[in-house]
Amino acid sequence: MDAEPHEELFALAAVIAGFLLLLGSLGLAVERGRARAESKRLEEDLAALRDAFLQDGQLSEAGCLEAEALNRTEDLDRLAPSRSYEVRVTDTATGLLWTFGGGVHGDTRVSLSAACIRYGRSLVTPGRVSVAVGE
Amino acid sequence: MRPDRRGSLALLDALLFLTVVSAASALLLSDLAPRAVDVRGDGERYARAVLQTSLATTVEGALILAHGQLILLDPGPLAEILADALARPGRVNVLPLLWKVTASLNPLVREDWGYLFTAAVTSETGPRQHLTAVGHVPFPAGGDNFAATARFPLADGDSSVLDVALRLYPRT
Repeated sequence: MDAEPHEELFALAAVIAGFLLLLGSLGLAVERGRARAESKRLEEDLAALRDAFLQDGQLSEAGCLEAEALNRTEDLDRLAPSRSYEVRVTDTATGLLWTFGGGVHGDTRVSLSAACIRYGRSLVTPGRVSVAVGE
Repeated sequence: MRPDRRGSLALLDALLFLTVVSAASALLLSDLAPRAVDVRGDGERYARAVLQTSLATTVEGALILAHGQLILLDPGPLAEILADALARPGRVNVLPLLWKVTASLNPLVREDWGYLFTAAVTSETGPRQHLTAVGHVPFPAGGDNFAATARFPLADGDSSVLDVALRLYPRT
C-alpha cells in the first residue's frame, strides 16, 4: 500500500520537529548547566573569601578582628584571587567602617556575617561584616 | 522509516520517533530544576556568628536590681555579665540589663529579620534567673528560623551553667 503524499510530508515534518526539539533541549541543558556551575563557583568563592577573612591570622586574634590590623590593611587581594570583591566591616557601636576591595560587577553574591572587633586589650565591640564577590 | 512498508506505517514510525525524542527532551529538561540553595546551613552560620559576636562584646555600666538595690556590674564580655547577673540567688530584676542586650543585637541582626534571645542560669538546685530579649519584630508562630546556642559552666562550685540561645527568622 503506497503512502499518500501528505502522509509522507507529515512524517517528514514530525521527524524534523523531533530533531529540533532534541537540539533545543540539548542547547538549553548545556546553557543552564554552565550557568549553574558558574553560580556554584561564585557561591563557593564567596564562602571561601568570607571564611578566609574572618579566620585570617593577620587580622584576628582569639576569634575577634583586630581594629589595628584592619587599619593597617589596604586590600585583601591575597584572599580573593581572580574575583572582584568588596568586604565591609561596620563597628555597630562606634560607626567606624572599613572597606576593602574595588567593588563588584557582573553576577554578584553577598554574604552577611558578624564579628567582634577588638581595640587594644580590653575593649571589644560588635561588628557587621558584609562580603560580596562578583565575576 | 522502513522503505518496504510505507503509508500510514511511515507516519506511525515518525510519530514513534517524535515520542522517543520528546521523552528524551523531557528527561534533559527535568534535570534543569533550580538547585536548592543551602539556606538552612547559611542561616545557622549567621546565627552563630551573631551570637558569638554579641557574647564577646564588652559591656560597661550594666545594672541589675537585687534585693531592692541597684548594683553596677563590673565591665566585661556580655557572657560574663549575664553569668554574673543571672547566677545570683534570690529576687533579682535583670530588666535594666535588657537594653544592653538589645543594644548589642539590634544593629547586628539584619533589619529584615527578627530575633529571640534567651539566657538562663541553671544550677543543681534548679533554675535561677533568666532573661529574654526580642527585636525587630515579634516572634512568629511558624516559618523558617535559625538557631544558635552556647553553654558556659560557671565556677561557683554548684555545677551551674549559663545557657544562651539566639533564634533568627526572616520577617517574610
